[in-house]
Amino acid sequence: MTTATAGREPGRETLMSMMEQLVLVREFESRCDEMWRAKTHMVGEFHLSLGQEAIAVGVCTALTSADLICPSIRGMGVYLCRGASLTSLMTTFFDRAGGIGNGRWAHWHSPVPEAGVLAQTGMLGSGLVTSGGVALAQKYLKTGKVVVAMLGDGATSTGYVHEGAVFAAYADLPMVMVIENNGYAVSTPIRSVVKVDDLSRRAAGYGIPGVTVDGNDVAAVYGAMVDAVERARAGKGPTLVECKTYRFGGSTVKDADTLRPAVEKEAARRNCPVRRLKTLLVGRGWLSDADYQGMVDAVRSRIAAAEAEAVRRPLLEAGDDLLQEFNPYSEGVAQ
Amino acid sequence: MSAVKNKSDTRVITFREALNEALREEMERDDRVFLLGEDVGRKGGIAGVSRGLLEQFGPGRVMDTPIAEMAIAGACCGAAMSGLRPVGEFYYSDMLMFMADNIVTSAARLKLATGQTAPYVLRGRDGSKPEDGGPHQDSFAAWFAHIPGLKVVMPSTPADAKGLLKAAIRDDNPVIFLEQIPLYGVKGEVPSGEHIVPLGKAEVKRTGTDVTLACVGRCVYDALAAQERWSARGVSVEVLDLRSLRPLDVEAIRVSVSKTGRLAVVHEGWTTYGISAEVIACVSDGPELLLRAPAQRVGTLDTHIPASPRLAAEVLPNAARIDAAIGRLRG
Repeated sequence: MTTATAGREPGRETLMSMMEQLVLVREFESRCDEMWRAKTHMVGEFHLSLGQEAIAVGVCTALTSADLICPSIRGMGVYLCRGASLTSLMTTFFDRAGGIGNGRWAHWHSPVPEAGVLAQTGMLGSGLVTSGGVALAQKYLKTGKVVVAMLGDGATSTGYVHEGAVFAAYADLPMVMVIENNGYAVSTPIRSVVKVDDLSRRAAGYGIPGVTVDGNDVAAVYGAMVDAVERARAGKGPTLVECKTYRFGGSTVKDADTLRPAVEKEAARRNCPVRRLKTLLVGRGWLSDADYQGMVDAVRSRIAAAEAEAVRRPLLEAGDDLLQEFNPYSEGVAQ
Repeated sequence: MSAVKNKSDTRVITFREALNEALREEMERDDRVFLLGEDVGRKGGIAGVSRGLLEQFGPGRVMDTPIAEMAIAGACCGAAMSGLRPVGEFYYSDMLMFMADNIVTSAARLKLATGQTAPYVLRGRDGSKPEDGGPHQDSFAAWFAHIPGLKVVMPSTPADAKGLLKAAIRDDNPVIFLEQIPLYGVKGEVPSGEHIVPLGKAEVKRTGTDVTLACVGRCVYDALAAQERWSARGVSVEVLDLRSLRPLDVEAIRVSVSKTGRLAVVHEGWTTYGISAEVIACVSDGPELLLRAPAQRVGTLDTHIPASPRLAAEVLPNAARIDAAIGRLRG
């Protein structure tokens, strides 16, 4: 694995904040998985990021709250790190009214404007070209905001990604493209369909910087992102950051995941990004086991409260005038 | 008796297994036939349609591709131009939007330039998923049925799934083959071995005299349920399964409506500029006046299908809207 830039070393406060966020993503998604399997309340498709949490945490920590981000289809960590309401998320997972997307948009992919999270779809690679347009507007309007577009390794094979990268490079967009390379497109190993070891090598063909980091090392992700975001904000154009990782479970909760070798899955568990940061912090004397358990307990309380609130909300119901309720048009006209 | 012979030659298998059988038999029969798509090999296809085929035919004929729909469509077109019979798979029919340029601009119009067509099949999941929603529930049949040079097929039963897929693979034209998601587990009698259902032929599933319900895909089952409900109320409903959307069986539609004089069309996909508009045109274009009541369209409402299953059920064609349409026809 190559690291083209040294990145920036996060300090104690940043590391402690990232620890809390890792615990939040791990606990929230584990609870979603548990509820989905128990068939309690949950509707829809869940693309869990368990095992990959350090990428969302490192990426989001390198951004300001004004910056914008388009997650990958495995992007719940981004929603959580950007402060999306747990109650709002659970409400939609339970098919109840008033939550994220309000049942109109696939819940794992819904836009959250107040958290700077852009809408995405199940059309892989599409988020990159749309994010390019958002980045173009930031440049045009001189907002100083940076846009991050995240992709899985599978999505990098799409035509969208080539065109999106060409366009971002051409227009020197204030943008960072992040690849979450977990090694598999559903059942298909990335190494069986791609002839480069590091997807970041493709950046050279677009004339932009590319870097590959250990995606289970949250400090490494953060460091690479700080450099890339600084470059984007300075008007020097986009960077491609590849983060190598491995998902603990199947592609979705419905994927039986029988094709990935057990030895790989066991190795991934040993390389757990949450435990790695915990070990580092304990080693430095900044965190005790009791402190860590306190973080876990606090997050579990928040999740339980969110569930309790969400189940009290009414089930989603359509009214009588469906075409009015789901009208896709605006009546507005520019003056 | 032929009925006895047919009985011994059929088994009850699922829609999914019938499609698998069609692929296996055509690959055994013709070594120009090969499969390509995302997860078609090791996983056996996202819907399990190609299970066991990698093991039987090897990676040269069952190709697990990158996630690259434009390249899959182009590879089908180019290989077909070069004498092969590719069968490409897409994950969901919204992925056909990625493939659309190559299908329309390269494959469908090829004969005008070269005198030859591109004989391939692109097949995959289409339409509503009962358990979850969003854009992966869309049905794009009408988009492709709009294109001269393409054929578009949507089976409703396991037997038709097998017979139409075999016919599609043997057809000398590019065929878009749409498998509606709720149907994969449906079981039915399927003939063993050679069983071909010609493209462009509808089938009367129930004969009736008062109302024609023309339908396709999973909506055939909604129409059959409506036929039973209305039969109990003394209304005789004819259920016509279109099976192919292009070519459309205009003759069968006209024969049915000549008898009933009343037509409702039930399908997934948006109503405006949709399947029903073309079916209604078949009976309203003349020369004779066939309709005795305004024709009814029951498609997906003209908005985007909400992700919530509870809301999606309202926007998709459903029993309440079919009943309302029949009620208006009975006026």
